[in-house]
Amino acid sequence: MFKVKIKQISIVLLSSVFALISFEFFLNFSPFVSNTSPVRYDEKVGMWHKENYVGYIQDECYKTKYIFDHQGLQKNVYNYDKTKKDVILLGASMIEALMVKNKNIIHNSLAREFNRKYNFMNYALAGSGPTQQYVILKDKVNLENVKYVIHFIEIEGDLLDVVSANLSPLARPKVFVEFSSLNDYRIVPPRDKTIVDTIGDFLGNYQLYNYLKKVIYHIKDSHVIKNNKPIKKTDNNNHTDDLSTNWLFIKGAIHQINNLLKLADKNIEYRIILTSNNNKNVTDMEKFLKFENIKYMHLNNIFKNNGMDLRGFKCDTHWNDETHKNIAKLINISSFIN
Amino acid sequence: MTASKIFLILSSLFFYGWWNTIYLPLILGSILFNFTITNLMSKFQKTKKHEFSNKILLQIGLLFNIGLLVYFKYMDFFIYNINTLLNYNIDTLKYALPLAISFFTLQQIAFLIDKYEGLINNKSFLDYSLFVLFFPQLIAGPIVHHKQMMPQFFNPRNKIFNKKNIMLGLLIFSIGLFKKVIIADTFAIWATSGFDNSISLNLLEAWATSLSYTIQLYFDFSGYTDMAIGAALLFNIMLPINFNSPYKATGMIDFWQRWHITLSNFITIYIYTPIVRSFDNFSFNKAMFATVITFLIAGLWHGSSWMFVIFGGLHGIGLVINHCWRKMKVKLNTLLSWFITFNFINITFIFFRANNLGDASKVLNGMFSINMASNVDFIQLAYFGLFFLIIFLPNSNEIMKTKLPKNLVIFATSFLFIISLLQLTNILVQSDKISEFLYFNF
Repeated sequence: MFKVKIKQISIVLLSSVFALISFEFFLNFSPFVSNTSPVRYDEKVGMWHKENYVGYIQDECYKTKYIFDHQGLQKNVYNYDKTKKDVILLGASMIEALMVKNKNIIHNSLAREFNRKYNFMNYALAGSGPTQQYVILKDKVNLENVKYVIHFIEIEGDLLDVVSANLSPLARPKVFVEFSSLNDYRIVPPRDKTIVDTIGDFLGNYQLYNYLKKVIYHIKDSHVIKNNKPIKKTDNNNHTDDLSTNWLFIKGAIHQINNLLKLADKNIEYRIILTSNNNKNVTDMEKFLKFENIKYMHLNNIFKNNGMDLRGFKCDTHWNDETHKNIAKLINISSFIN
Repeated sequence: MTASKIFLILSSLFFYGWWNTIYLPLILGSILFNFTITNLMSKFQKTKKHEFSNKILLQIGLLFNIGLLVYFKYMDFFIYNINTLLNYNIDTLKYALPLAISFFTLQQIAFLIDKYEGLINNKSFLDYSLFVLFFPQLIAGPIVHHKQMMPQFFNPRNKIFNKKNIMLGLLIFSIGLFKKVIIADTFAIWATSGFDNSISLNLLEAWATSLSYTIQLYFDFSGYTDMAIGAALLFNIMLPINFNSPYKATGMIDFWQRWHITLSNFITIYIYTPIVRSFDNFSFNKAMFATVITFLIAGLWHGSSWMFVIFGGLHGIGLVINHCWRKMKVKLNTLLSWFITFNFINITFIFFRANNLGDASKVLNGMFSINMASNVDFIQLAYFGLFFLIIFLPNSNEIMKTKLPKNLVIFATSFLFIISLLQLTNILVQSDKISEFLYFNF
């Protein structure tokens, strides 16, 4: 009797394992494929795109395949041409644009608009702010062949991303740069890679892991809604109304990027593209950029003046394919870069 | 025995009420009314004037059942058509379709007619209620006949714990769940994308859309039927089979002997036969006429839309052509017959799925266009390939008849159940809603 039960339990266990493996396989090769993590631990930046990686991101209104090259950059539609100068794009998730079709993402749209005059390279990283982007430029970009650095700053979002206090304990590690003045700063390296990061990086490649995370979040959300509890915002726990430190960190990062490019002595031109709907913030930033002698454009105004909208996806606030193409067009028309 | 019947009735009412308690009084009222009518029929059968009285009772019963169906299912359709034809502006009722109304009404109509014919001798309200409410088949069939169910409720041997039935029931239930959440819901994404989310379709997209729906519909409905058969087996009740590999059919007559078999039986006995009987004399042409009329009614039974009438009409014509070929003794190669039949079914299901003629013509135009410009989705292509392999595998009925090794049953059941449960949760988490069975809408 006992022997029989052991045998039957073993069969059930075996079939459960087989079901899990089959489910992983099914999710990978079905319309239900879900978003696996596009990043891994990086000792300099904290996280960086997986190299030579193909993934899918989907929401109600899109399902997009994204491809990172050998450097972990959003793939270019053309081959790198070393006889041409590089244009480096810095920014956050709007520019990283996993949800936009590769051929339409800003760097590929720019390449099309400029008839492949430059190698446009997209170094944007979701969840990063200007301070992290400064570290990316310093540690990941070879400035040898660069002509322009175009830095996309979304003021309100970036104000929150530059301060380490806003980082949730559960979030992936990130480098921070803390400024006491525009010229005095210290780099706070990302925390050391833990066993949890290693396991997370490994499991992040599997659909089942992402499935489990979704189920847990879903149960947590349902529990919160059922009990009528306010939803905790993990990325903004210590947010206060005083943003002077945040402003200093953003301005410090811009100042240091400007210095870095000047010190490289390669005639690299620094350009900033601002997005914000807050006039006061825009005025503050414009004043600073004029003082730093950095050429900039305010995207919201440029779009408005050209009778266009900075449109996002229906189900997601990120800019859609059309907006990426339009930004490239306007950069070309306005001779923001030549 | 009585306690177990009460338990099953209460479980069924709970199951029905879980969807929406508002319509519980409707189903209970319908049962009570029909039982009263049949009971009165029994009383009149003892008197001399029984035939006249029973005929009136039958007419009242039929009027009540058809009236209920018309009021809840077709009234808005009629109002819409009157408004369109006569340019009126009558407000529609906008009632949510009571769950399973088409199914429990059909079963009760069949019971009423058979009672009138003197084929039933039931007097127990409990048995009658259980026959209508038995939860595995209540929502979307199989449409059961009292002859199939009543003896099983009476049989004391069905009270005994039957390990073999439980194991088989769990296996068939898991196969059904797998068919629904893994196969049907996967193809549903491609079908919905083509039918609902595309403005125009090219050749490949249109074929992918129509085939996806043909596959979705079969696996969705036969999945539910398998789950119903499996759940009933847990209570030692054997429900009739409803599907027998319909996509292997080599003709339309063959198809309707394999597809929604219990509906085919019902319409043959209770719609086709009375129409044929009403003719003064029988002829081939009259039988064919009756076939088309029967299928127009069967089409409309599926839902209040002209698209279902077109679907029914096309199948009626398909059957007539098939009968003519038989009469003329035309014999086609089996593979060619299968090819013609499958494509006919695939094309007619476009009308079954489309919301209007515009949607249907969008898919049909694409299917017969020469516009090939499309990115081939190799995953989708692989799924179609798998489907054509699957349809030649043994179906659930054949599996039930096969003596499978016990360990294989345990392995297959837990494998199918676990993977289906994982996918069910996945769908729930991704779309935040339960994926319903297609026939819940009928």
